[in-house]
Amino acid sequence: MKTQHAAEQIGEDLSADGPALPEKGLWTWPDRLGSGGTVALFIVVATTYAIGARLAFALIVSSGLDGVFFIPAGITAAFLLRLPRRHWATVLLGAGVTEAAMDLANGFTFAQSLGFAAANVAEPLLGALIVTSAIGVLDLARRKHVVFFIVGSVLAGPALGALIGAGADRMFGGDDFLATFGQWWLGDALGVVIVGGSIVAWGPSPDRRTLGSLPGAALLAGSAVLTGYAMIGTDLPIVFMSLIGIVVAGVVFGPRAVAMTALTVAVTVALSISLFSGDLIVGLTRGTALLIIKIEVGLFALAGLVVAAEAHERELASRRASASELRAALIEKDRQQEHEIALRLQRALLPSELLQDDRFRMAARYEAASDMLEVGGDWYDSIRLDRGRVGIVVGDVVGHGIEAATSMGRLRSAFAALAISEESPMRLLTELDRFAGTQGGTAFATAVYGILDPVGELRYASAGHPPPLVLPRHGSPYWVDGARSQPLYGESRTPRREAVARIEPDSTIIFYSDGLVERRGEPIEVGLGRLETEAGALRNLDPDELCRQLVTRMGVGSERNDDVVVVAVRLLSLESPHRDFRLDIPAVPTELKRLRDELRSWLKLNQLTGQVETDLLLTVGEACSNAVRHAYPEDRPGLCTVALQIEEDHVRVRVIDYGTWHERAKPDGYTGRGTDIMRSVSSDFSRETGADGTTVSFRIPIKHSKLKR
Amino acid sequence: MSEPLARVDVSHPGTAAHVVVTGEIDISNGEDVGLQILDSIEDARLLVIDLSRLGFIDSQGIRMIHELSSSVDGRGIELEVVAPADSVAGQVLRLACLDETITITEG
Repeated sequence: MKTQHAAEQIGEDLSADGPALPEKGLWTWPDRLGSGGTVALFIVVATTYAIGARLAFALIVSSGLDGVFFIPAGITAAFLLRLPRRHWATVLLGAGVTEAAMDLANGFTFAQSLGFAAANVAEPLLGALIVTSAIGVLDLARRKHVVFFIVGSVLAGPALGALIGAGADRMFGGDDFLATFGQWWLGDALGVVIVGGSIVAWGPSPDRRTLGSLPGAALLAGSAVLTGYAMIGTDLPIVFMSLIGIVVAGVVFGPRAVAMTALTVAVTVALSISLFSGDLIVGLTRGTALLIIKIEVGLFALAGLVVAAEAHERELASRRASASELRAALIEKDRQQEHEIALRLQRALLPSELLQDDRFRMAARYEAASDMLEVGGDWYDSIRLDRGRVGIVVGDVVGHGIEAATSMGRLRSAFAALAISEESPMRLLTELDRFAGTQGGTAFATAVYGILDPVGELRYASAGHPPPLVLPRHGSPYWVDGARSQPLYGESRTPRREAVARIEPDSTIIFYSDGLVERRGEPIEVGLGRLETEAGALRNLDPDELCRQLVTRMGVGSERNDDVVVVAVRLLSLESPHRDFRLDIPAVPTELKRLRDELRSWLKLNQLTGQVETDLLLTVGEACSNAVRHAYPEDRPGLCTVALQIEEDHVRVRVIDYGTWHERAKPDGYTGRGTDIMRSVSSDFSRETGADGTTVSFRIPIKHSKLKR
Repeated sequence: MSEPLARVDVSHPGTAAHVVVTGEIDISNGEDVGLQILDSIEDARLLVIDLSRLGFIDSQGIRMIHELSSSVDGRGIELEVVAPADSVAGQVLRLACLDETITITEG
C-alpha cells in the first residue's frame, strides 16, 4: 500500500469487524477447509489486514511523517508462511480485495487501487514462494530459515511490491518513482520483520523460550523506556542504543523475544513520533531522522533474529553432542565392565606361572584383545612329566567373550588330566577332541601339544594350530610343522599324527596363537615370515624378555582384534656345572674318549667320584659303543646323544642314536656282553628302537653300586 | 690322535712276557692293544697282563682279553691277568665273568 497517499485519506471509515479466529487456532488451521472455512479465512485475513492498515494510517496521520512500518505487509507474509499453499489464494484474495477496497475508499483511481492491490498480492507471494521452496515450514530458531526469511520475505518480496506499487503510482499520476519505491520497500520490509516475525516466531518452533520472566520483562520495559527517551528526551542520535536490547534478546531468549523486543521498540518509535513533534536527531529533519531510525530498527531486528537462530543451533548441537557423548560413555562403560570380567576370567584360567627346572626355562605372555567381544579362548599350559620331560600346550578356542573363556578353562582342565598319563601327543589330542565333543560350548578349537625331553627330543602333534618355531642358538630358525591334523571339534575319529623334532641345547621353541601372526588383509605367510625374522633376532634373550619384546615387535599394539599368546621354551645347555649332562658326539670310536673326558669332568663338578664314576663311564661307554657299532652305516656315521640327569639317589642315563641298527656286524657275543654289563650295573634298563633311532635308558645308583660286591 | 689312548709296556723277565697296559681300552683301540700284546709275547711261556693301572676298559677290552686268551691257549702259553678286584679292570672283568675262565690275580 502506498502510505503517503493513504495518509491523506485516513478519515475514511472502514468496516473492521470480522468473525473470531477459528477455535483450533491460527496455525493449526485444518488442511482442508470447507467452503465455510474458506470464507472464514478470507474474512480473518481481510479483517486483520484492514485493522493493520488502519493502525498504520493512524500513526502516520498523528506524526505527519511516513509510517514507521507497514503492518499489513507483515500480516499477509505471516499468513502465507504459516498456511499450506492451497490456502494462499484465499489469503491473497482477502489481502488484495481489502487493499483495493481501502484504496478506492480513500479516493485513489481504480487503476491505482488495482496496482496497489497487485503489489500487495505479489509481494508476500514472492517472499513466501522463496521461503517455502527453500526450507518448507519456517522455523525462526534455525539459522538457514532466518536467512531465507530475510532474503525472501523481508527483502525480495517487499522489493517486488515496491516496484509494482511505485510503478502503478507513477503511471497513474503519482510522485517520484524512486522515493516511493524506497519508502514502500523500507516500510514493508520493517512490517514483515517486526509484525510478520512476531507472528511467525510464535509458530511451531522447538525453541519455546519467551520473555515471560523478570529479566525478560525488564528487557522489554528497558527497551521501551530507552527508545522513548532517545526519541523524545534527547535529540542525540542514540536510538541504536535501545536497539541493543533486540540483539540481547536474540542471544539470551531466542527468536520470539527478538520479535517482541523489536515490536516494542518499533511501536515506541511510532508512538513517539506521533506524540512528539520536536527534533528527533539534532541537525536532521524529522523525515531524515525517522528514515535513519527505521533502517536501524530493521537491521537490528534482523541481526537479533540471526543471533537468536545461531545461539539456538549451537545449543542444540551441544545438547546433541553431550547426549550422544553420554550415551557413548554409558555403552563404553558397559563394554568395559564385560571386557574386564572376560579378561579376569581368562587370566584366572591361565596358569600363573610355567614350570621351570634345571633343563627348561619357560615364559609366556598373554595379551587380551582390546575389544571386549574378542577376549577369551587363547590358552597355554605346561605340565611336568616323568623322566624329566615337560609337556607344553598352546590352544585357541574359536569364539570370544566369557563363553570362550569358560570353554578354554574346561579344555585346559581336560588337558591337565589327560597329559599326566598320556605319553603320545597324538593320542592326547584325540582324547581332547573326544572331551570337546561332550561339551556343548566348545565348538571349535585348535591346539598344539609337545613333549620335550631333557635330551631335546620334541614329540608333538598339532590340531589345526600354527606351527611352533624353533630358534637355535646358532643357525636359522625353523618350523616344527609336521604332525598336522584337523582342529578339535568334537570328532574323535579324526586321524591325528605326531612327529619328533630334535632340539639342540640352547634352542628356544616358540609356541603361539594365531593372534600373533595374523593381520587383517594380509596372507598368513607374511605374518609367519615376520615371526621368523623378529623371533630370530631375539633368540639370545631370556625367554621372559623374548616373549615381551616379540609381542611388541610383532606389532601387537593396544588395538588388537584377537587374543595373543606367546610361550617360549628354552632347552638349557649344560656347559657349566650342572645337575644334567648332555653331549652330542659323532658315533665313531675315536669320540668315546672325548665323551669319557667330558663325563669325568662333569662327574667331578658334581662330586660324583669313585664307584658311581666307574659305573657311569662303563655303562655310558657301552651304550655308545653299541651306537657306534650298529646305528649307522660305516661310511655315514650319525650322532649319538648322551644325557645324564642326577636324581635323588641315582643318575638317569639316556643314550640316543638316530639311525637304524644295521647289524653290520653279526651279533658276536660281545655286543651282548656290553648290554649284559649295562644290565648288571644299572636299574630300569630299557632299549627302545623305533623308526627314527634307538634310545637306551637306565639308572645308576649313586650310593650303593651294584658293581661293588 | 696325538697321544695313543693306551700304552703297552712289555718286559721279558725269564720265560715270561710281562705286559703293562695303561691308559684306556675301548672300541677304538681294543683290537690294536690286543695285537700289540700278541706281538710282545715272542717265545714266552707265560703271559702276564697287568691291567691294574688301566683307567678304563669296556666290553671291547673284555673281548680283547677273551680273544687273547683263546689265542695263547692254543699256543700253550699260560695267561695271567693282574686286575685287583677294586680296580677298574678288575671290576669289569669279574662283571663279565672272565674270572671263571681266566686267571685273574690281585697283583
